[in-house]
Amino acid sequence: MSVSIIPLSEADRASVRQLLLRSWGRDWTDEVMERYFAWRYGGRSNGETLVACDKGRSVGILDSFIRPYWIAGRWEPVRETCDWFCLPEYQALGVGLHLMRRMMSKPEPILLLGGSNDTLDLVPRLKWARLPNAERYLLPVSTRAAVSRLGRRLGRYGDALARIIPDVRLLRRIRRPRPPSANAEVRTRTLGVPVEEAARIVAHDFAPALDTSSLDWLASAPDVLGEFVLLGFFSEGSLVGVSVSRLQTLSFGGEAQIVHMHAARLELIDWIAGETVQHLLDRGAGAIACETSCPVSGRALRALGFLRRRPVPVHWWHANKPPPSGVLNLTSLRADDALAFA
Amino acid sequence: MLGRDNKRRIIFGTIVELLTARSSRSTLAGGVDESTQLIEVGLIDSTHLLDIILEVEQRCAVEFDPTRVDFDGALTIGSLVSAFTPAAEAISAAIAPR
Repeated sequence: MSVSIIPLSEADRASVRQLLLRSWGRDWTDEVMERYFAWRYGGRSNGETLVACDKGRSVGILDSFIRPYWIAGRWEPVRETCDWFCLPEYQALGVGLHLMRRMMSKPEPILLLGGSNDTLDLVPRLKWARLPNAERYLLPVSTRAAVSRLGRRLGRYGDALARIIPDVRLLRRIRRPRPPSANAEVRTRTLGVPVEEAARIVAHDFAPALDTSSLDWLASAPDVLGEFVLLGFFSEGSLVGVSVSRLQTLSFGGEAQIVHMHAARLELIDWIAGETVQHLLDRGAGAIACETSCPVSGRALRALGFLRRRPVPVHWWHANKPPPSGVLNLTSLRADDALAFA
Repeated sequence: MLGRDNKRRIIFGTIVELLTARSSRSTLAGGVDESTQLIEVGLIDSTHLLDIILEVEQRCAVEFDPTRVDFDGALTIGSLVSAFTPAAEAISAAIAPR
Protein backbone atom coordinates (compact mmCIF):
# COMPACT_ATOMS: atom_id res chain seq x y z
CA MET A 1 0.00 0.00 0.00
CA SER A 2 1.43 3.35 -0.94
CA VAL A 3 0.76 6.89 0.14
CA SER A 4 -1.82 8.81 -1.85
CA ILE A 5 -2.34 12.56 -2.04
CA ILE A 6 -5.97 13.67 -1.89
CA PRO A 7 -7.88 16.89 -1.34
CA LEU A 8 -9.21 17.51 2.16
CA SER A 9 -12.78 16.95 0.94
CA GLU A 10 -11.92 13.28 0.29
CA ALA A 11 -9.97 12.69 3.51
CA ASP A 12 -11.25 11.23 6.76
CA ARG A 13 -11.89 14.33 8.86
CA ALA A 14 -11.29 12.65 12.22
CA SER A 15 -7.90 11.42 11.06
CA VAL A 16 -6.97 14.88 9.74
CA ARG A 17 -7.99 16.48 13.05
CA GLN A 18 -5.81 13.98 14.91
CA LEU A 19 -2.83 14.82 12.71
CA LEU A 20 -3.34 18.55 13.17
CA LEU A 21 -3.66 18.25 16.95
CA ARG A 22 -0.31 16.50 16.97
CA SER A 23 1.21 19.16 14.76
CA TRP A 24 -0.14 22.03 16.85
CA GLY A 25 0.77 20.39 20.15
CA ARG A 26 -2.65 21.12 21.66
CA ASP A 27 -4.47 19.15 24.31
CA TRP A 28 -7.88 20.46 23.29
CA THR A 29 -11.09 18.62 23.96
CA ASP A 30 -12.87 17.09 20.96
CA GLU A 31 -15.45 19.84 21.14
CA VAL A 32 -12.90 22.68 21.03
CA MET A 33 -10.99 21.00 18.22
CA GLU A 34 -14.14 20.36 16.18
CA ARG A 35 -15.23 23.98 16.54
CA TYR A 36 -11.79 25.24 15.62
CA PHE A 37 -11.42 22.83 12.70
CA ALA A 38 -14.87 23.73 11.35
CA TRP A 39 -13.90 27.40 11.29
CA ARG A 40 -10.30 26.95 10.19
CA TYR A 41 -10.90 24.50 7.35
CA GLY A 42 -14.62 24.71 6.71
CA GLY A 43 -15.44 28.38 7.21
CA ARG A 44 -13.46 29.87 4.34
CA SER A 45 -13.84 29.77 0.61
CA ASN A 46 -10.36 30.64 -0.59
CA GLY A 47 -8.37 27.63 0.49
CA GLU A 48 -6.98 24.41 -0.87
CA THR A 49 -5.69 21.62 1.35
CA LEU A 50 -3.80 18.49 0.33
CA VAL A 51 -3.65 15.46 2.60
CA ALA A 52 -1.24 12.52 2.35
CA CYS A 53 -2.95 9.28 3.38
CA ASP A 54 -1.67 5.80 4.07
CA LYS A 55 -4.51 3.25 4.26
CA GLY A 56 -6.96 6.01 5.08
CA ARG A 57 -4.82 7.44 7.87
CA SER A 58 -3.69 11.03 7.43
CA VAL A 59 0.10 11.15 7.59
CA GLY A 60 0.81 14.55 6.09
CA ILE A 61 -0.96 17.80 5.31
CA LEU A 62 -0.32 21.06 3.52
CA ASP A 63 -2.88 23.83 3.57
CA SER A 64 -2.98 27.00 1.50
CA PHE A 65 -4.97 30.19 1.22
CA ILE A 66 -5.36 31.95 -2.10
CA ARG A 67 -5.63 35.67 -1.59
CA PRO A 68 -5.61 38.56 -4.05
CA TYR A 69 -2.52 40.73 -3.70
CA TRP A 70 -1.67 44.10 -5.09
CA ILE A 71 1.47 43.58 -7.14
CA ALA A 72 2.77 46.81 -8.70
CA GLY A 73 -0.73 48.25 -9.01
CA ARG A 74 -2.50 45.08 -10.22
CA TRP A 75 -4.52 42.43 -8.42
CA GLU A 76 -3.10 38.94 -8.68
CA PRO A 77 -3.89 35.78 -6.72
CA VAL A 78 -1.10 34.61 -4.44
CA ARG A 79 -1.05 31.33 -2.54
CA GLU A 80 -0.03 31.38 1.11
CA THR A 81 0.97 27.94 2.43
CA CYS A 82 0.50 26.87 6.03
CA ASP A 83 -0.01 23.84 8.28
CA TRP A 84 2.76 21.95 6.52
CA PHE A 85 3.19 18.86 8.61
CA CYS A 86 4.14 15.25 8.08
CA LEU A 87 4.67 12.36 10.48
CA PRO A 88 8.45 11.86 10.92
CA GLU A 89 8.55 8.38 9.38
CA TYR A 90 6.94 9.75 6.20
CA GLN A 91 8.85 13.03 6.24
CA ALA A 92 12.14 11.17 5.78
CA LEU A 93 10.73 9.63 2.60
CA GLY A 94 9.83 12.95 1.07
CA VAL A 95 6.05 12.94 1.63
CA GLY A 96 6.05 16.52 2.93
CA LEU A 97 8.29 17.54 0.06
CA HIS A 98 5.88 15.93 -2.40
CA LEU A 99 2.93 17.82 -0.90
CA MET A 100 4.77 21.09 -1.37
CA ARG A 101 5.73 20.19 -4.92
CA ARG A 102 2.07 19.58 -5.72
CA MET A 103 1.34 23.11 -4.49
CA MET A 104 4.32 24.48 -6.42
CA SER A 105 2.87 23.07 -9.64
CA LYS A 106 -0.25 25.28 -9.25
CA PRO A 107 -0.33 28.47 -11.29
CA GLU A 108 -0.23 31.00 -8.43
CA PRO A 109 3.00 32.23 -6.89
CA ILE A 110 3.51 31.06 -3.29
CA LEU A 111 4.40 33.27 -0.36
CA LEU A 112 5.87 31.87 2.82
CA LEU A 113 6.62 33.91 5.93
CA GLY A 114 8.63 32.19 8.63
CA GLY A 115 8.43 28.43 8.95
CA SER A 116 10.10 25.73 11.01
CA ASN A 117 13.85 25.06 10.80
CA ASP A 118 13.14 22.11 8.49
CA THR A 119 11.07 24.35 6.20
CA LEU A 120 13.70 27.07 6.12
CA ASP A 121 16.34 24.48 5.29
CA LEU A 122 14.29 22.99 2.48
CA VAL A 123 12.80 25.91 0.55
CA PRO A 124 16.09 27.38 -0.75
CA ARG A 125 16.92 23.92 -2.10
CA LEU A 126 13.64 24.00 -4.00
CA LYS A 127 14.86 27.27 -5.55
CA TRP A 128 12.52 29.61 -3.70
CA ALA A 129 13.61 33.25 -3.75
CA ARG A 130 14.28 35.17 -0.57
CA LEU A 131 12.33 38.42 -0.02
CA PRO A 132 13.19 41.09 2.55
CA ASN A 133 12.56 39.93 6.10
CA ALA A 134 9.44 40.79 8.03
CA GLU A 135 10.43 42.51 11.28
CA ARG A 136 8.89 41.53 14.59
CA TYR A 137 8.07 44.15 17.17
CA LEU A 138 6.91 44.06 20.77
CA LEU A 139 5.56 46.78 23.04
CA PRO A 140 5.69 45.63 26.67
CA VAL A 141 2.86 47.36 28.52
CA SER A 142 2.69 45.51 31.83
CA THR A 143 5.48 43.79 33.76
CA ARG A 144 3.65 40.45 33.84
CA ALA A 145 2.97 40.37 30.13
CA ALA A 146 6.53 41.45 29.37
CA VAL A 147 8.03 38.74 31.58
CA SER A 148 5.70 36.11 30.15
CA ARG A 149 6.51 37.15 26.57
CA LEU A 150 10.24 37.30 27.12
CA GLY A 151 10.17 34.12 29.20
CA ARG A 152 8.16 32.12 26.67
CA ARG A 153 11.25 30.19 25.80
CA LEU A 154 11.21 28.87 29.35
CA GLY A 155 7.82 27.29 28.64
CA ARG A 156 5.63 26.92 31.71
CA TYR A 157 8.40 28.36 33.91
CA GLY A 158 8.08 31.67 32.07
CA ASP A 159 4.34 31.65 32.79
CA ALA A 160 4.92 30.75 36.43
CA LEU A 161 7.43 33.59 36.76
CA ALA A 162 4.94 36.01 35.19
CA ARG A 163 2.29 35.01 37.74
CA ILE A 164 4.39 35.69 40.82
CA ILE A 165 5.78 39.12 39.95
CA PRO A 166 3.75 42.28 40.71
CA ASP A 167 1.77 43.47 37.70
CA VAL A 168 2.86 47.04 37.11
CA ARG A 169 1.45 48.91 34.16
CA LEU A 170 4.34 50.54 32.33
CA LEU A 171 2.28 52.46 29.80
CA ARG A 172 -1.27 53.78 29.72
CA ARG A 173 -1.26 56.34 26.96
CA ILE A 174 1.02 57.02 24.05
CA ARG A 175 1.74 60.28 22.29
CA ARG A 176 -0.54 59.87 19.31
CA PRO A 177 0.53 61.19 15.92
CA ARG A 178 -1.61 64.01 14.49
CA PRO A 179 -4.60 62.90 12.38
CA PRO A 180 -4.48 63.81 8.67
CA SER A 181 -7.47 66.19 8.80
CA ALA A 182 -9.75 67.95 11.27
CA ASN A 183 -12.59 65.54 10.51
CA ALA A 184 -10.48 62.37 10.65
CA GLU A 185 -12.10 59.60 12.67
CA VAL A 186 -11.65 55.97 13.66
CA ARG A 187 -14.59 53.54 13.56
CA THR A 188 -14.78 49.99 14.83
CA ARG A 189 -16.06 47.60 12.20
CA THR A 190 -18.40 44.85 13.25
CA LEU A 191 -18.95 41.46 11.63
CA GLY A 192 -20.84 41.60 8.35
CA VAL A 193 -20.29 45.28 7.53
CA PRO A 194 -19.01 45.33 3.93
CA VAL A 195 -15.53 46.75 3.38
CA GLU A 196 -15.51 46.80 -0.42
CA GLU A 197 -13.85 50.22 -0.47
CA ALA A 198 -10.93 48.78 1.56
CA ALA A 199 -10.06 46.48 -1.32
CA ARG A 200 -9.19 49.48 -3.47
CA ILE A 201 -6.81 51.20 -1.11
CA VAL A 202 -3.14 50.42 -1.28
CA ALA A 203 0.06 52.36 -0.78
CA HIS A 204 2.55 49.53 -1.13
CA ASP A 205 4.07 47.87 -4.19
CA PHE A 206 3.14 44.47 -2.80
CA ALA A 207 0.38 43.92 -0.25
CA PRO A 208 -2.64 41.69 0.36
CA ALA A 209 -5.94 43.12 -0.85
CA LEU A 210 -8.53 43.27 1.90
CA ASP A 211 -11.93 41.78 1.23
CA THR A 212 -15.11 41.39 3.24
CA SER A 213 -15.08 37.59 3.29
CA SER A 214 -11.60 37.22 4.77
CA LEU A 215 -12.27 39.90 7.39
CA ASP A 216 -15.57 38.23 8.28
CA TRP A 217 -13.76 34.93 8.53
CA LEU A 218 -11.35 36.39 11.09
CA ALA A 219 -14.19 38.11 12.95
CA SER A 220 -15.98 34.78 13.37
CA ALA A 221 -12.90 32.97 14.77
CA PRO A 222 -13.53 30.67 17.75
CA ASP A 223 -12.63 31.81 21.26
CA VAL A 224 -9.29 29.97 21.35
CA LEU A 225 -7.91 32.57 18.93
CA GLY A 226 -9.24 35.54 20.89
CA GLU A 227 -11.18 38.49 19.48
CA PHE A 228 -10.39 40.20 16.19
CA VAL A 229 -10.77 43.97 16.14
CA LEU A 230 -11.06 45.83 12.87
CA LEU A 231 -10.61 49.60 12.86
CA GLY A 232 -11.54 51.75 9.86
CA PHE A 233 -9.72 55.08 9.43
CA PHE A 234 -11.62 57.90 7.72
CA SER A 235 -10.50 61.28 6.51
CA GLU A 236 -12.65 63.79 4.59
CA GLY A 237 -15.41 61.17 4.66
CA SER A 238 -13.40 58.48 2.85
CA LEU A 239 -11.88 55.28 4.12
CA VAL A 240 -8.10 55.78 4.04
CA GLY A 241 -6.88 52.95 6.22
CA VAL A 242 -7.69 49.75 8.04
CA SER A 243 -6.06 47.93 10.92
CA VAL A 244 -6.79 44.38 12.03
CA SER A 245 -5.75 43.32 15.54
CA ARG A 246 -6.28 40.37 17.81
CA LEU A 247 -6.91 40.49 21.54
CA GLN A 248 -6.47 37.47 23.75
CA THR A 249 -6.97 36.95 27.46
CA LEU A 250 -4.17 34.82 28.84
CA SER A 251 -3.34 33.60 32.32
CA PHE A 252 -1.37 36.76 33.11
CA GLY A 253 -3.72 39.24 31.42
CA GLY A 254 -4.48 40.60 27.99
CA GLU A 255 -2.19 40.37 25.00
CA ALA A 256 -2.66 41.96 21.60
CA GLN A 257 -1.26 41.42 18.14
CA ILE A 258 -1.52 43.97 15.36
CA VAL A 259 -2.27 41.57 12.52
CA HIS A 260 -2.25 44.07 9.67
CA MET A 261 -2.16 47.78 8.90
CA HIS A 262 -3.31 49.03 5.54
CA ALA A 263 -3.18 52.61 4.28
CA ALA A 264 -4.09 54.56 1.18
CA ARG A 265 -0.90 56.59 1.57
CA LEU A 266 2.30 55.74 3.44
CA GLU A 267 2.20 59.02 5.39
CA LEU A 268 -1.01 57.85 7.10
CA ILE A 269 0.67 54.87 8.74
CA ASP A 270 1.93 56.84 11.79
CA TRP A 271 -1.65 57.86 12.58
CA ILE A 272 -3.08 54.39 11.95
CA ALA A 273 -0.41 52.75 14.13
CA GLY A 274 -0.86 55.27 16.96
CA GLU A 275 -4.66 54.98 17.06
CA THR A 276 -4.51 51.19 16.87
CA VAL A 277 -2.03 50.95 19.72
CA GLN A 278 -4.05 53.32 21.89
CA HIS A 279 -7.23 51.33 21.18
CA LEU A 280 -5.47 48.12 22.27
CA LEU A 281 -4.11 49.81 25.42
CA ASP A 282 -7.62 51.01 26.26
CA ARG A 283 -8.85 47.43 25.83
CA GLY A 284 -6.34 46.25 28.46
CA ALA A 285 -3.50 44.79 26.36
CA GLY A 286 -0.50 43.96 28.55
CA ALA A 287 1.78 43.53 25.54
CA ILE A 288 1.35 44.34 21.86
CA ALA A 289 3.14 42.43 19.14
CA CYS A 290 3.36 43.13 15.43
CA GLU A 291 5.07 41.59 12.42
CA THR A 292 5.62 43.66 9.30
CA SER A 293 7.96 43.93 6.35
CA CYS A 294 6.95 47.55 5.72
CA PRO A 295 9.78 49.88 6.78
CA VAL A 296 7.35 52.78 7.26
CA SER A 297 5.23 50.71 9.68
CA GLY A 298 8.45 49.64 11.42
CA ARG A 299 9.51 53.27 11.94
CA ALA A 300 6.03 54.16 13.22
CA LEU A 301 6.09 51.29 15.73
CA ARG A 302 9.59 52.12 16.95
CA ALA A 303 8.54 55.74 17.46
CA LEU A 304 5.73 54.45 19.70
CA GLY A 305 8.20 52.52 21.86
CA PHE A 306 8.10 49.08 20.24
CA LEU A 307 11.22 46.93 20.57
CA ARG A 308 12.56 45.14 17.52
CA ARG A 309 12.91 41.38 17.86
CA ARG A 310 14.36 38.63 15.70
CA PRO A 311 13.10 39.04 12.11
CA VAL A 312 11.10 36.49 10.14
CA PRO A 313 12.47 35.24 6.79
CA VAL A 314 10.17 35.53 3.79
CA HIS A 315 10.30 33.31 0.70
CA TRP A 316 8.62 33.42 -2.70
CA TRP A 317 8.07 30.72 -5.26
CA HIS A 318 7.05 30.90 -8.87
CA ALA A 319 8.58 29.06 -11.80
CA ASN A 320 8.57 32.15 -14.04
CA LYS A 321 7.39 35.26 -12.21
CA PRO A 322 10.19 37.24 -10.60
CA PRO A 323 9.82 38.01 -6.89
CA PRO A 324 8.06 41.29 -6.06
CA SER A 325 10.14 44.37 -5.37
CA GLY A 326 9.57 47.82 -3.91
CA VAL A 327 7.86 48.46 -0.57
CA LEU A 328 6.32 45.20 0.63
CA ASN A 329 3.56 45.07 3.22
CA LEU A 330 3.72 41.52 4.52
CA THR A 331 2.19 41.01 7.93
CA SER A 332 0.40 38.36 9.96
CA LEU A 333 -2.62 38.74 7.66
CA ARG A 334 -1.92 35.55 5.81
CA ALA A 335 -2.46 31.86 6.09
CA ASP A 336 -3.65 31.35 9.59
CA ASP A 337 -0.67 29.69 11.25
CA ALA A 338 0.71 33.22 11.43
CA LEU A 339 -1.93 33.67 14.13
CA ALA A 340 -0.25 31.32 16.55
CA PHE A 341 -1.98 30.10 19.66
CA ALA A 342 -0.67 31.62 22.85
CA MET B 1 18.75 9.15 -24.60
CA LEU B 2 19.38 6.84 -21.69
CA GLY B 3 17.32 3.67 -21.42
CA ARG B 4 15.26 2.91 -18.34
CA ASP B 5 17.78 0.31 -17.09
CA ASN B 6 20.68 2.68 -17.56
CA LYS B 7 18.86 5.42 -15.71
CA ARG B 8 18.05 3.02 -12.92
CA ARG B 9 21.68 1.98 -12.66
CA ILE B 10 22.80 5.61 -12.50
CA ILE B 11 20.29 6.42 -9.75
CA PHE B 12 21.33 3.33 -7.78
CA GLY B 13 25.01 4.22 -8.19
CA THR B 14 24.39 7.78 -7.04
CA ILE B 15 22.50 6.60 -3.96
CA VAL B 16 25.30 4.20 -3.03
CA GLU B 17 27.91 6.91 -3.57
CA LEU B 18 26.01 9.31 -1.32
CA LEU B 19 25.43 6.63 1.27
CA THR B 20 29.10 5.76 1.32
CA ALA B 21 30.05 9.39 1.78
CA ARG B 22 27.71 9.75 4.74
CA SER B 23 27.99 6.42 6.45
CA SER B 24 30.67 4.69 8.42
CA ARG B 25 28.66 1.46 8.63
CA SER B 26 30.35 -1.79 7.81
CA THR B 27 27.33 -2.87 5.73
CA LEU B 28 28.44 -0.54 2.99
CA ALA B 29 31.95 -1.91 2.99
CA GLY B 30 30.46 -5.35 2.46
CA GLY B 31 28.46 -4.07 -0.49
CA VAL B 32 24.85 -3.17 -1.02
CA ASP B 33 22.42 -4.03 -3.77
CA GLU B 34 18.83 -3.14 -4.60
CA SER B 35 17.52 -5.62 -2.04
CA THR B 36 19.40 -3.96 0.83
CA GLN B 37 16.91 -2.58 3.32
CA LEU B 38 17.15 1.09 4.21
CA ILE B 39 17.11 0.21 7.88
CA GLU B 40 20.29 -1.85 7.37
CA VAL B 41 22.16 1.22 6.17
CA GLY B 42 20.71 3.42 8.88
CA LEU B 43 18.49 5.49 6.65
CA ILE B 44 15.02 5.05 8.06
CA ASP B 45 13.77 7.92 10.24
CA SER B 46 16.75 9.93 9.17
CA THR B 47 16.92 13.43 7.84
CA HIS B 48 19.86 12.20 5.76
CA LEU B 49 17.46 10.26 3.58
CA LEU B 50 15.72 13.46 2.49
CA ASP B 51 19.13 15.01 1.78
CA ILE B 52 20.03 12.02 -0.36
CA ILE B 53 16.72 12.18 -2.22
CA LEU B 54 17.27 15.86 -3.05
CA GLU B 55 20.84 15.24 -4.10
CA VAL B 56 19.87 12.37 -6.42
CA GLU B 57 17.15 14.56 -7.94
CA GLN B 58 19.65 17.27 -8.70
CA ARG B 59 22.38 15.03 -10.07
CA CYS B 60 20.17 12.72 -12.13
CA ALA B 61 17.42 15.15 -13.30
CA VAL B 62 14.72 13.04 -11.69
CA GLU B 63 12.03 13.70 -9.13
CA PHE B 64 11.18 11.52 -6.18
CA ASP B 65 7.55 10.45 -5.94
CA PRO B 66 6.75 8.89 -2.54
CA THR B 67 3.33 7.76 -3.81
CA ARG B 68 5.24 5.05 -5.71
CA VAL B 69 6.77 3.65 -2.53
CA ASP B 70 5.10 0.63 -0.92
CA PHE B 71 5.14 1.44 2.79
CA ASP B 72 3.80 -2.00 3.70
CA GLY B 73 6.87 -3.98 2.69
CA ALA B 74 10.43 -3.58 3.86
CA LEU B 75 11.85 -0.44 2.29
CA THR B 76 14.83 -1.30 0.14
CA ILE B 77 17.24 0.73 -1.93
CA GLY B 78 15.50 -0.81 -4.96
CA SER B 79 12.09 0.53 -3.87
CA LEU B 80 13.71 3.93 -3.41
CA VAL B 81 15.21 3.78 -6.92
CA SER B 82 11.80 2.84 -8.38
CA ALA B 83 10.21 5.95 -6.91
CA PHE B 84 12.41 8.30 -8.92
CA THR B 85 10.82 9.44 -12.15
CA PRO B 86 12.07 11.78 -14.87
CA ALA B 87 11.42 15.33 -13.64
CA ALA B 88 9.08 16.25 -16.49
CA GLU B 89 7.01 13.10 -15.95
CA ALA B 90 6.65 13.85 -12.24
CA ILE B 91 5.44 17.36 -12.95
CA SER B 92 2.86 16.11 -15.45
CA ALA B 93 1.55 13.59 -12.90
CA ALA B 94 1.29 16.29 -10.26
CA ILE B 95 -0.77 18.64 -12.38
CA ALA B 96 -2.93 16.04 -14.10
CA PRO B 97 -6.63 16.42 -13.22
CA ARG B 98 -7.77 13.88 -10.66
